[in-house]
Amino acid sequence: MFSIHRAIGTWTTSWLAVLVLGAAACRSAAPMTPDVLPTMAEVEKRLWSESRDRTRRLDQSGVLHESKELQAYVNTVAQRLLPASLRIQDAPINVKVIKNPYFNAFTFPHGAIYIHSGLLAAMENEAQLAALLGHEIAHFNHRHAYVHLSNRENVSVSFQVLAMGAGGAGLFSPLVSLFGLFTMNAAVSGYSQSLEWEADDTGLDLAMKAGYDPREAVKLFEILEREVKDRDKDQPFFFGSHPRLTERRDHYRQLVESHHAGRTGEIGADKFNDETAVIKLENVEINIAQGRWDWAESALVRFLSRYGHDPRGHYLLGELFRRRNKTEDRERAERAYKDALALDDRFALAHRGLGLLHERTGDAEKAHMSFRRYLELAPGANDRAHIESQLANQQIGRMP
Amino acid sequence: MIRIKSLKFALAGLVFWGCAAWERVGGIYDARDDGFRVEFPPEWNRNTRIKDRYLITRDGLLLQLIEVGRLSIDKDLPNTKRKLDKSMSPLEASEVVFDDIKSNQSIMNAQILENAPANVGGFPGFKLLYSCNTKEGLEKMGVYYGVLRSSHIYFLHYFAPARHYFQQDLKTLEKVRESFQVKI
Repeated sequence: MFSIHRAIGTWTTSWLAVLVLGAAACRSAAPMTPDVLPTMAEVEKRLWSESRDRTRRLDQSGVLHESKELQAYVNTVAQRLLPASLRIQDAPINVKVIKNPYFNAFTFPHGAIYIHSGLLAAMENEAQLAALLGHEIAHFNHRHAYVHLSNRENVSVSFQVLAMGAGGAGLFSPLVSLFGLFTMNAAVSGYSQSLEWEADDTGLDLAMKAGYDPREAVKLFEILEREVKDRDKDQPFFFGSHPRLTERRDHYRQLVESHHAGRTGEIGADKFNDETAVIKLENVEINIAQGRWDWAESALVRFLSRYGHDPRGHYLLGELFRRRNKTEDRERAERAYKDALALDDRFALAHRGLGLLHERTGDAEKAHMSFRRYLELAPGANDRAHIESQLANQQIGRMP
Repeated sequence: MIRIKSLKFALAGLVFWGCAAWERVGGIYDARDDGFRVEFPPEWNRNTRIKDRYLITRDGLLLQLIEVGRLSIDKDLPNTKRKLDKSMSPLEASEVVFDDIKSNQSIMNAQILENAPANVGGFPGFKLLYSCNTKEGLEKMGVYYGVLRSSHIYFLHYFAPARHYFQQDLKTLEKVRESFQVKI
């Protein structure tokens, strides 16, 4: 009798046999080149196949940033870093930006690189992006997922996790957990210190050869360190779980001072800031929603010092102050909303913000005017019923 | 032998404990300590391990859930550092609630579809209709009814996959909301 449990069990067992044999057979790997592809061991081919499935699902899940320009930009930078040996037709490096405020970047075994928008938003220039992408490309170049898998200890841990998964999550857990073992555990959460440092080394080399200033890599880690100090300790933070963040910064500093001493290069701040302006404001919105006021405020001040003509930046500053609602914030919010409207009087949400602000301070007349203007400019607003109700209440309040 | 027996008992205990997490609901629930009264539909099941609110479903939490309860405004919200304040208007309170939903890391792309005034438990509150994606890419929709009374927010929250399931139990949610009474 055919049993699906048994079928899956058999499949899993054979997979694990391949895994263990593969692991025993290979504990280091030659750098990736087009010639390596046909010679890859079965276990690595399976790893690629699973990681392709996983990335396909990830791409369809709605987590990717919708800006095609942004996706194109990060890929342009990645392409500039790629040496000829890594321009592989069947395994093209592809970078994608995920909408997520936390700091993370990871590479799947077959060369798909993902960066969280929060990490991009924290960067200052293209040279810093190049340092990060160089590091991720180096994981692919050195086949770190496969090397990690080839470590006997990891295989042993894998068995334990598989067993736990099988017991805890039912029929499909062995299938589900296989990928999680190899890719999520390592590629996403970080490899061993030696592999990470190898990626730092190669990555910085790639960035430098492409003409970027290697010193910006150190600055990137200084920025991340500074920002992490302001964050809660319980936040997921990829670089903190690698060799510690300060160790990574020191390692980069050592590389810059020894291997790349005296080298300078392109920084690319203007282009980077223009290309990533959209995610800087999105990240501010997320931070406002999360109540991370200081983060949002410092990002907005930085943004407005460069793009003071952008009404959305002023509007978000108004939102930040209105929602934080400290005593001194009310005046600041009003000023920020008015700055937004001075740049664009048809910015509906700034009128809404002013209306809510005036209502809170008891200025019914001004609130009424602002709400009416808001609804004129945004007749299909999703909170129209609320605003109409507030307008009606104000009308009653004004009746003799 | 003793080991096998112990294992069997442990497994039986585990199964029993697992089963005990759900109990059938239906009829009126008078949560006096929490200051509200509500009527639940028959053939729905309550997760009894969740103590701070009523969490019910008919076919499983992934397919539909309704949460009913109250939360002290002095307590932290699950996902945002923003705070509710009893002087807030229903619209302002709905902003804080949605900021909390938007900050939930297990969902993505949370969008408000409608934010309207609503009678909740006999008092003027709000209704938030929103959509989002799970990390696996499934589109879900939710309705959150909330009202600030005294130092609490009272809420009814319905959450289900956008396709098929969400529409299926909207009427059930409305019945539950109509029966909901805040007694403070």
